[in-house]
Amino acid sequence: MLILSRKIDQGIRIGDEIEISITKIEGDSVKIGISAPRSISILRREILEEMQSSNQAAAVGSVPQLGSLKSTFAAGSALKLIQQMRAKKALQKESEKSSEASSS
Amino acid sequence: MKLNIGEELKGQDASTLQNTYDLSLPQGLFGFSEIRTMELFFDKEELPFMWLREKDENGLAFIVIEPGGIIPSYDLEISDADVEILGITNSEDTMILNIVTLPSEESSKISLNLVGPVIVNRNTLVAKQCIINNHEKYSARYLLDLSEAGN
Repeated sequence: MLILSRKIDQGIRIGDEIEISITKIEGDSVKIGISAPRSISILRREILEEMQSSNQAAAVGSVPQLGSLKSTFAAGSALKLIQQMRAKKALQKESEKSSEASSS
Repeated sequence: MKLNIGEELKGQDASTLQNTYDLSLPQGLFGFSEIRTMELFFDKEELPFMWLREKDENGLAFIVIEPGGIIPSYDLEISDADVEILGITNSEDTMILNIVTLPSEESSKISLNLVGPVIVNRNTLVAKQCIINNHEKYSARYLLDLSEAGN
């Protein structure tokens, strides 16, 4: 990894289009300004790590061909979950309808 | 680009028992960047839950749902970079899938990742997991309260 020392208001240029500048230093926190084309994605590293761990927690592993939800965990609770989810959707639809009716 | 969540997957009507869509993921999923293709599968009996899974028998699988009717006022914005990769021109071209984490030993509730939905171009079936621009408004572990929906 390339490590550079920079002072406040100094910057770094990466390629032709990306510029990073140090705008403020306060205690153990640094404010960094980044100018880059809109097509370049800039993210805090924590959020990427959060997505990775969330995906890992959600991964179900190998799946049999059919009846898959029922075979991932107890059949009874899968069925209940599906029913609860459908009921929630139905409730939501109804409340949307009634709010439309009252607003028109 | 702002996306709306109103529309549901075509082919999800009552006459279709099962359906499979072959998706291509040019960048994989977060933490699984080597993945390039997955299938979106649903069985009418399991809706609104669907499967996003590798075709490989021992492959990876996720449970996903479309947020319409489940997450009220979920308005998401995706970056220009993601719009370009997906090749979408308007909101109607897209399908939104939120990854579901099933109840586990740590939590008895099911949770949804609202920060990193998988966005699909309905026409080309190119898909990408996108971190939404307005991610600060939402949780990556949104707990779904199903108690009001009857037990």
